[in-house]
Amino acid sequence: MRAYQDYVQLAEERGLKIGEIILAEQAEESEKPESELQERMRLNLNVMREAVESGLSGERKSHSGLIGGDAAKVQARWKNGESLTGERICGAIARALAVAEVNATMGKIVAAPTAGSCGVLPAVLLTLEEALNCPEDDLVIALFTAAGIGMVIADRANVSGAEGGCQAEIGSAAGMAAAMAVELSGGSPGQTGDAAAIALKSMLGLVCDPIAGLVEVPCVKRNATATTIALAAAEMALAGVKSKVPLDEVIDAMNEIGKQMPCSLRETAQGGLAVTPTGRRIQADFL
Amino acid sequence: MRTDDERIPQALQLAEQKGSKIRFKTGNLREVHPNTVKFRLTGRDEKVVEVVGSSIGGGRIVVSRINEFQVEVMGDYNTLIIIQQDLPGVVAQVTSLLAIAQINIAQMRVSREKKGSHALTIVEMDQAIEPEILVLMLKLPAVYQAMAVEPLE
Repeated sequence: MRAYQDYVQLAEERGLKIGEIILAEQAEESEKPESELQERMRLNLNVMREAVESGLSGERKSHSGLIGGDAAKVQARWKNGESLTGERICGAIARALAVAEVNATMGKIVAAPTAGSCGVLPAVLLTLEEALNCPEDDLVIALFTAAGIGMVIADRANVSGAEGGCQAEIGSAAGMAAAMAVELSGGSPGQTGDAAAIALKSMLGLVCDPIAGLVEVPCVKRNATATTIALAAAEMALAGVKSKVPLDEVIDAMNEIGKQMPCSLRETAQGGLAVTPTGRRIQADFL
Repeated sequence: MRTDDERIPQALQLAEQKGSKIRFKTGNLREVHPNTVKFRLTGRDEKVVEVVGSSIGGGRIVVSRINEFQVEVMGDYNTLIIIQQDLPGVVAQVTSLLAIAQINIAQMRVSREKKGSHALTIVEMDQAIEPEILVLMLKLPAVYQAMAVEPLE
C-alpha cells in the first residue's frame, strides 16, 4: 500500500519536490519519458484554465436550471474590490464555482480527483499563479504533487462519493490542493503532508446527499468552501503548524468513516439534503 | 469516445445516428459498487455479450464481469484477454510466449465456467504485446480467442 510518508522521506533525502518524486515514479511505472507525462499534465492545466474562463463568463445554465451564474456574481465583488475576505480568497471562491458550474452544465473539466470536486484544484492553482507569479512549469509539477496525494488516497481509501461519501471527493480535493499550495509557496515536503492532513481532517464525515441525484446542489458550492479550507490548511502548515495525526492515518480514518456511512448518504439521493422538503420538491419538478 | 470528448453530452444521439439502439433500465445488481452498469450488448449477428463495470471516481473504472466470468480489469495496463479450453499447461504455453517476447506480467487471473470447460485468462502486462506474438498465441490448439486491449489514457 502506498504511504505519503514514504514520498516525503524520499523528497527530503534527495532534496526534491514531492511532485518531482511522483513524476519520476510514474515515468518509471509507465515506461514513458518524464517529458511526455509533463506535457499530458500541461494539457490538464490548459483544460482547467479554459473551464475557469468559461464558468466566469456567467453564461452557462444547467438542464435543471439550478446552476449557473453564481461564479460571475462572486467575480463581480472580487473585481470591484468589495470583497469581505480579500482578493485571493474571493478570487479562489469565484474560480472554484466557475469550474464546478462548467461541470454541472456538461462542459469540459478535469476530474480532480472527481468531476463533482473538479473546482478546488484549478481554483487554488490559478489563484496562486496570480498571487505569486508562479512559472507554468512549477504549476505542472505542483499538479503531480496533488496527483500523488490523490493516488495515495485512492490506494488506501477511495475517491468515490458512492463509496466513501463527499469527504472522499471534496475532502480529497481539499487535501490535494492544500499540499499543492504549500509546495508552490515554497514549503517543505513535510509541510505538504501537514497541509493535506489538516484539510482532509476538516472534511471528515461529510456525506454525499445530492438533490435529485444531480452533481449540482450542494456540490457546486462545496467546491468553493473546500477551496477556502485548502488555503487555510496551507496557511497553517506554512507557518509550521503540524497535524497531530499524520496524513496516512487521516486517510485511513476517512476510509473507516466511509465504510460506516449508510447507503442513503452515499450518492443515492435518499438522505440528507436530498430528502428535505425543498430537495424533494426540486426532484419532483425535475423528474 | 475518450473521456474528455466534448461530444459526450450528445453521445446518445450520435450513437443512434450510427445505428446503435440504446435502452436504459434500472435494477438491482446486488453486491456491487453503487455506481455499476451492466451492459448487455447484442451484435448484428444477435450474439450477446454481458459486461459489468463500475465507475469508481477519478475518471477510473473497473470491469468486474465479462459474461459469466468474474474479472477485475481497470485499464491501467496493456491487457490480454484469452478464452481457452480448461486444460493442464495452457497457461504455461501462454506465459512462455510472453516470456519469449520479454513481456512482464503485472497481474494475472484465470477463471473457468467449470472443470474442463471454457476458461478465461486476463493478463495485465507492463509492455504492449506485438501482433506477431498474438498470432502465435492463436495457433495454440487450446486457445479459442486472444485479444489485446490498450491501457486507457
